[in-house]
Amino acid sequence: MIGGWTGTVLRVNLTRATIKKEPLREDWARDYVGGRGLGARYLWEEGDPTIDPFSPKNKMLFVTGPLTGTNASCGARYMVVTKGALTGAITTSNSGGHWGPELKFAGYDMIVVEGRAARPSYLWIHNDQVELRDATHLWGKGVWDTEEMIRAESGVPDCIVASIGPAGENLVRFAAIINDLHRAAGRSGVGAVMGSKLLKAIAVRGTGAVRLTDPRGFMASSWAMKAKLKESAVTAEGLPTYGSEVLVNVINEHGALPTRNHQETVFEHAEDMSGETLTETRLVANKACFACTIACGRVTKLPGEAAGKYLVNTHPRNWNIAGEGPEYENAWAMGADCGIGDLDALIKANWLCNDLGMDPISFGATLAAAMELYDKEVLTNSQTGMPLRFGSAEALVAMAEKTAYREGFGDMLAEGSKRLTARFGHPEFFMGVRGQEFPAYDSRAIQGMGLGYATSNRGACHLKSYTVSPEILGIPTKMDPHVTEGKAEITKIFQDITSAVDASGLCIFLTFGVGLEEMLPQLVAATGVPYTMDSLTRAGERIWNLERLWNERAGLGKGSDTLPKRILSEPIPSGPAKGLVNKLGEMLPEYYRLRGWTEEGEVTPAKRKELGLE
Amino acid sequence: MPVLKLLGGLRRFGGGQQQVSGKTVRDVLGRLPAQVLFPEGGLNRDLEVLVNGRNISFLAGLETALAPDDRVTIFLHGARGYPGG
Repeated sequence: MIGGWTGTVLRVNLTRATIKKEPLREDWARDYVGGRGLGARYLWEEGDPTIDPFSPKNKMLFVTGPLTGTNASCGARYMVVTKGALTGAITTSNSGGHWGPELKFAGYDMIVVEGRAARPSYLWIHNDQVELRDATHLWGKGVWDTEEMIRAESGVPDCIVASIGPAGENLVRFAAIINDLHRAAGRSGVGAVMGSKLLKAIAVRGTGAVRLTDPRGFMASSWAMKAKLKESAVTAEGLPTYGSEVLVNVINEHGALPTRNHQETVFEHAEDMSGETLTETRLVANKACFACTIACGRVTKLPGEAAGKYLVNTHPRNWNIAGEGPEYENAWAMGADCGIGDLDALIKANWLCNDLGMDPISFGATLAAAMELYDKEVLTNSQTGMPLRFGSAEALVAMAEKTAYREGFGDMLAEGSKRLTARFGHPEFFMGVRGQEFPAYDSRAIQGMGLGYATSNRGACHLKSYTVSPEILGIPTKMDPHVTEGKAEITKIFQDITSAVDASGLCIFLTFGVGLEEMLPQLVAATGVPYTMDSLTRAGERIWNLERLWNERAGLGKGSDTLPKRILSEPIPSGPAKGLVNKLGEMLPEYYRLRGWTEEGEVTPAKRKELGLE
Repeated sequence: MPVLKLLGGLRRFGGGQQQVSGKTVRDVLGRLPAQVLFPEGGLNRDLEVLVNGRNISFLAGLETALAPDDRVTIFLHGARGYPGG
């Protein structure tokens, strides 16, 4: 077995209540690196793209990478791969914390979950002991109680739990899987798929280690990368000090912060919800995932009666009423997109999303769409149960809870904004791609992000080709965000390289400080596979194309690479990007050409052959 | 007078938003200390300057002229290259 891997896959069939251990496909681990790529390869082999996401036939894969659980900085990630409940597309939802490393320490590279349990269950893994346990008493509990109860009843207080909350149980289409109380495999509704299987949680305790092929070489390259991370103002200072929330002011100053369901792009209360304000008034401490040297996590507190209920026991100084977040995307979706600048409401709603197990991006953006429907008098109080005015902090917090439990109007919000806006006859108010809501960058003001959104395999996403780097931050080179020139090429490059990083088990935030060339030596030393920059980038391209092929089979191929009418034809009304629309039509043909696809965006037989995808 | 807004860690040099005098971006940048502007001799490559939301790289750089109602935003990003660059 190549290094970095345990060589063992757990296959759990919930219908038959069986658990098998089987060898990892080493050839796939080599060709697809791991994580997102390895999961996509297994799903391609075993999954049916045409089924309903809630079908027992929909498989869920929890996949680590070869660097997960190693001493590589930020080697904490695991990936959930399945057919997304929100989108119907292949989804690859990624989380940090400690769960992925713990799975490795227990002796497993990945878990394949099949079928549907007869009653609520959870999977218990303690090294060689693997069993399905009854979770009837946990059903209905929030994530935080679930973690606490499993630790208490198992007698293993340091086990790591990944679980769903009421949102996942109630099949909220953007339900998340949460581990370590606040770390989320957040997008596309992976929590709802888990809920459809009546799988409440997977609790893991492992006492083993990750075997490296060349430990000495690995440590040398690992320290070299950590030194680079300490040189970068972003990874050494910006993210630890302000977290991702520092982007609120940066993006708003560029006139690219979607506001009130993308009707505007400058938010007048951005300062109130910014990373600077959060750090000065609500931050308790920053917090790191396993082996991370960046520590971008935000432990936050609320004053007085606004406080939540949970104790975050990271350090005695935090033994106060505190939770975590919000991160930038969450703060934007529930904040600017809903016209809400009340930071305390955003913190509270973010904690609720974590405890109830729900993606704050899709929740906030769906509420924003509902607020536009309300603003345009399509929805009335009799339907919503309360005023859904833009700017209403009360509506935000109330609807977070109602959505997770599908109470009242929350039942409609729980379907996501594509279904919600279509139901009320205004699909043009849906701001997203392939059923998934946009993240926090208006692609009329940042042209490349529009191409990235339109072609993202899991639906609109900022994490698959973050061209904000060159277009706003000037990394690695400055590109004018208002023009389309060069955006097709940079989008393809970023998509392929991001796929490789996602597959490795490392966190994408590393790329603010280091390049693939700094990550490569660790991967080679860990696995013993002589990856090169070329072969690793090619692996990323292979992953991207495989996901694309899966979507083609799911009926989400040709013609689905588009953006909402508002983004394509309604000019930004004011601010630095006034008058702009996204010019997707100028970028898409070149992108297809660079991908080697047909003019309609289909993966060609020649490309399949070239990438070994025949 | 133009308005200057400093973001993130730069706020230690003058708070969030203030009115400043100056005919060009170069004049306004002079308000920041030398160790921020020229940490290694040349102009800090981590420094990003916007005038009315547009990066001065796409305007006239440090010589970009300022009108009385212009808004100047300055922030540090810092990074050492994304793969592909």
